[in-house]
Amino acid sequence: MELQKDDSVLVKDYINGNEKSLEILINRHNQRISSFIYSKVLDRDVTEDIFQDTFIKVIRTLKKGSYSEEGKFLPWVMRIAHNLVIDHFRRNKRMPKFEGNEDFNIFSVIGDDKLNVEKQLIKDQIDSDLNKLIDELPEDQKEVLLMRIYKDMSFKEISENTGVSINTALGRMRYALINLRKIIEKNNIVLTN
Amino acid sequence: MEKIYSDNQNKCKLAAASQETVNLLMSYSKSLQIIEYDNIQFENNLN
Repeated sequence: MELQKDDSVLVKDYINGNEKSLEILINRHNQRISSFIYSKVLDRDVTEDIFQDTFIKVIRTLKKGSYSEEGKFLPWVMRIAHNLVIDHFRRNKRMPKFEGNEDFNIFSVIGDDKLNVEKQLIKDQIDSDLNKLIDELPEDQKEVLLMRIYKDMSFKEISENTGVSINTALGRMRYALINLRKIIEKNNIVLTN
Repeated sequence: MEKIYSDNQNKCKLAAASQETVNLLMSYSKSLQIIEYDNIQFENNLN
């Protein structure tokens, strides 16, 4: 059975370039450090993040040669983790993170009003079908319909642009809609989402 | 019958960082090089 190397020996080995020593150190103290962090933050993901940041600090300090073997390795790492936990709470105090519970879910109030992929596909299909139907209309009716629906122009503006009276423009719009309905009914086209 | 009064029973569970995190730390360690020039230390991350 292989003798377990002391932490201080592993630290020295690591400083001398033996990367494997660091892995042993991490695995040896993983549960203790993680459990300590978890007991404070009570969140698995945050625990992982703080554990990771702790060892990034450890690695940088060891590689820079700033570590002095005054105390023991584990209490030193625990101190770093403890400071990072405090940093985490300070940051959270400035920018609190809201998490829902079983009774209340924030996403039931804040919704994403965008269509989902399926509904977007259906909408695109309907838009494209409608464009084809509008193309079937007589030119004068099509012109009025496009100005009114797509360009959001008033009938007064349409009459000025096309050089016809408002009543004619209204009439053309009416016939355009009647004709569209006729084509839709005749061909049994479904235009609903 | 057992009665647990703790609000957060999960609090007592042991936690451990995942193997993924350990691997990331090992990769970070391998990629990090400290270069000293004129008493100034430079961190080099070679990916």
